[in-house]
Amino acid sequence: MNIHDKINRVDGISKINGSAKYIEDIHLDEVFHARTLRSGIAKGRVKSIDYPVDYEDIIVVDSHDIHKNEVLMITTDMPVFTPSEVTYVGEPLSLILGKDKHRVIEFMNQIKIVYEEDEGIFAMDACTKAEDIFSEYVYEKGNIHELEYDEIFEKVYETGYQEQLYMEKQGMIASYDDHILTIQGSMQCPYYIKNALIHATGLPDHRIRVIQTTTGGAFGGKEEYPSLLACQLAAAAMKVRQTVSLIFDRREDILTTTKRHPSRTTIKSYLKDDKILGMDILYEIDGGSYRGLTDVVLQRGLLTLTGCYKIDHVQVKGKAYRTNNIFSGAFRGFGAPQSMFALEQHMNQLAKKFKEDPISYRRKYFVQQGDLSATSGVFHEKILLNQMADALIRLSEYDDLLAKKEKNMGIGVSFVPHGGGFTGDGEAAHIKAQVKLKKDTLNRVHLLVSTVEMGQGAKTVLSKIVASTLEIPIEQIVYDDPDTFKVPDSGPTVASRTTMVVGGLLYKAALELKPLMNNPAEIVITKNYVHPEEIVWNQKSLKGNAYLAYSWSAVVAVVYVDPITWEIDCQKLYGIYDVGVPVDEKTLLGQVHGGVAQGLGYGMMEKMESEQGILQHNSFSSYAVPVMADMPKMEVDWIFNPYREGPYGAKAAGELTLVGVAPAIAAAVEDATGFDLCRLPIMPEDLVKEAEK
Amino acid sequence: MIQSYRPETLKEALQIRNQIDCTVFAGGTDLYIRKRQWQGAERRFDNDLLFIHQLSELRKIEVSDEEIILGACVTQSEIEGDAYLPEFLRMPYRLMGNPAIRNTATVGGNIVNAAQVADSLPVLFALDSQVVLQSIHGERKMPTMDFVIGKYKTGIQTNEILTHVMIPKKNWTDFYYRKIGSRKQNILSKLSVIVLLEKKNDDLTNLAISIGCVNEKPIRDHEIEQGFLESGAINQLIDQLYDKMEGQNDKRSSKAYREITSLKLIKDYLEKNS
Repeated sequence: MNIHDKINRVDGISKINGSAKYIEDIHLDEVFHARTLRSGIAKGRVKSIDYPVDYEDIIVVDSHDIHKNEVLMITTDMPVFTPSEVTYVGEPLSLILGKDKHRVIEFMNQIKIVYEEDEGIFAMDACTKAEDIFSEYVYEKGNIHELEYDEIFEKVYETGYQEQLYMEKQGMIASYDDHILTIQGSMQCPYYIKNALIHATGLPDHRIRVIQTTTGGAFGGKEEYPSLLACQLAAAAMKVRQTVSLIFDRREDILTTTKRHPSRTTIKSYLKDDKILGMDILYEIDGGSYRGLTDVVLQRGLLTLTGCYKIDHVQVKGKAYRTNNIFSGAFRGFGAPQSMFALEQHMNQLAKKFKEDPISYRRKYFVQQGDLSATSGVFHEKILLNQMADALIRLSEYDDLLAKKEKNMGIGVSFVPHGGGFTGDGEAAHIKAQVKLKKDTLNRVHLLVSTVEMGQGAKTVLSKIVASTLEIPIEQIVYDDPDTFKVPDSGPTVASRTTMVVGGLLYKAALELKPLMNNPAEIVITKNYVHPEEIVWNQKSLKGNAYLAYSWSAVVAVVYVDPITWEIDCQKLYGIYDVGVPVDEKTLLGQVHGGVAQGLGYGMMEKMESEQGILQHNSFSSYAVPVMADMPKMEVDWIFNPYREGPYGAKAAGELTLVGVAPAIAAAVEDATGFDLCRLPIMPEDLVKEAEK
Repeated sequence: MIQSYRPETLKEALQIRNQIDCTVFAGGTDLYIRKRQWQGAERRFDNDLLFIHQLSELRKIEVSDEEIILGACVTQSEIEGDAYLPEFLRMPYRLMGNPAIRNTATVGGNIVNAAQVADSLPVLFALDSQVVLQSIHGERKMPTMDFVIGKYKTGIQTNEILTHVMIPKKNWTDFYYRKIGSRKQNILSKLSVIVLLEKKNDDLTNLAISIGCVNEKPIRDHEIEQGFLESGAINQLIDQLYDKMEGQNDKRSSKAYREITSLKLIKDYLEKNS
């Protein structure tokens, strides 16, 4: 195997022929089916729950059945089951267990809950007290306060919810046999779940086993949320000492699991002689009622807020609010799709104001190697934004596009960075990844990592890295779904870190194994993460290198806006990507196509609104994601910019491909209509309103 | 326990319908979804069920010089695929749901269900179609636009089955159909518009307009159309249609968007074609 070989996905056939077993495909004879009893109000207290009597076959599991009623995420503010205090609609009160689903339904239909209801907080503007704010950050570069400027250009940008809508819903099965608690299910982070289980159950490390099953999409939706389900199921399995299954229905999944954080970004640009002297930015997000990963999402949104541009004077403030809305959480892009939309739309609007071409205008501010980032860290790597702009202009035949632009057509561009791996010193301070390679006596090489395949191509890419390094056929690689009894903690499958960080460690392990391949014995090589010395980060001041390395994208979107119906048709999309060196081009292309689909939805289709804490768009029919017919014609390419620490020069790719799409589409719609558009998604209903103004 | 009946003939079905308070089940694409409760649990109906999908009497498409007769259990795919049917009839069916739904969803089901978003209703209203309702006592016919009373409400009697839809043949020379949803395929409509024209030597001699999804049932008004045929005043026609609109904002779209857009589509088409 050579790293440049074109191969098919290693998990492709089993998913096409149906032999891959998702959690819902695992049929067990004796199993308790669990259904969640949820709060019907957003804020208040449960005064009493009146469960029907005479149901000997039904078992209720609630906060009394768990050793420690806390779900360990980053903090422990979320209970496994709320004992009384309700903070959002759909908050779990208990699990109802039964072997006959109809009996469970019948039982649940008769439950009576009495609440004492308080008025909830549903808007960021209503968060006035200190307790309504989860976190607040500020960082500065240069001195924004003493600028001599001509004018301030200020705009406010907003984004709504987005649902991951993974094809496979949330689901898990738990059992408790021989004093071993086993959790199997659809997940991104087996060790997050294991750590949450140690915390909640009080069981020692060696009595908890977490096994990932074939996972049909996640997009961040299975990052922190499954820890809650695992803790609930652990309580249930340990109570009944039998297997318990919890599989969500689609509507339940949409209504109660994490969403992308709604946001508001206020950007003030200080201008002198048509130049941007500085930017003062406030980035705000709605975290819902529990902290979850909100703090980290806020940071990722904040830390690259000047994007691809060198702005000398910057003040960035970030605030995450606690409301009684649905719990917001991890979602591909992790705060950046919101803040990069704001920044990119702002840059477009500045270009428009100065009557400049949006690409030419951006070029004046492109960061270069050696410049300081927004957080005053030195960009150590080569930055090829100008070359990317040139490549994008060639690929899209940009000048021709502009020349031939017809009425109601619009052309929009975006340039965005995305940091690979955990923010700041997270990889070294928190994750401390470890990988193992095991060569067995049959000369097969086992990848022992907790990194999961969730549709993104991890198995293909990581297997390819190891097979290429060892120069063996990929068929000799064994990469089973992670089981915490068998694999070390290589960290969660998040933050676009899989290829770059985990792949990097596997590459080093493979280099070490290579000379030993002729040894007939079983050999295990272990590699631990070592932080690159030049990456320096101060988490208190938010100063330094916020990410290990940045990937970059440059996108042109071409739209047609129907002059009567205001429907937006994204006809073409061109993209140039710098992901270091792609280790598998087919996988990268898959990420690009998926990122475009998800970004297109985010930009112009996927409207999800909440009223009094209840999501209004809760089904496939009301929450419209793109189908094939909605996809633009896509032409994409990548430039090679090898990253020293990455395997074969690879950097991050997964999230990047989504982030730049909506901003380019928004800019194109703005170009087509002439309206100032500051809110995602852009819906025909909003354009009609603009037109009627 | 509920009973389910699967008669072999229409006569038998009408007898069952007469004797038993039951839900008539054709394609099931609405009924079945509505009874969803928990994946893996059965969908339990409260009423006895009468299956009619298998009745050959209700599965025919008949085209004559005077009319088109569609059996109630003709599927949407069958309409879509029948080259003898006019395009203005096939197109709305072709744009409904997705292939799997269209393969089982029926002509009659979409009428009797009478959803606000039922895409077959505007075209059936515009074509002055009639529904045929049968019971053991005989049959009655009424215009589809009178049969549908409102959202999920029709004039069907508990002993009746909707068996056919009759569409009188007219000399339409041109038509315009547009369905607007939040994506290009497989989506419920925000609104839909159909306009049919008959022109003789460039003179407009007949016209039918229907607008779906704005009100609880599609808008169709013969008087307004007649007025336009006499006056040719497009703005007046648009104003009169606007006066018929009584929609609401909902999660799919806004009242303003539906009203403004449907009227603009009609106006634009008529300005270019009438």
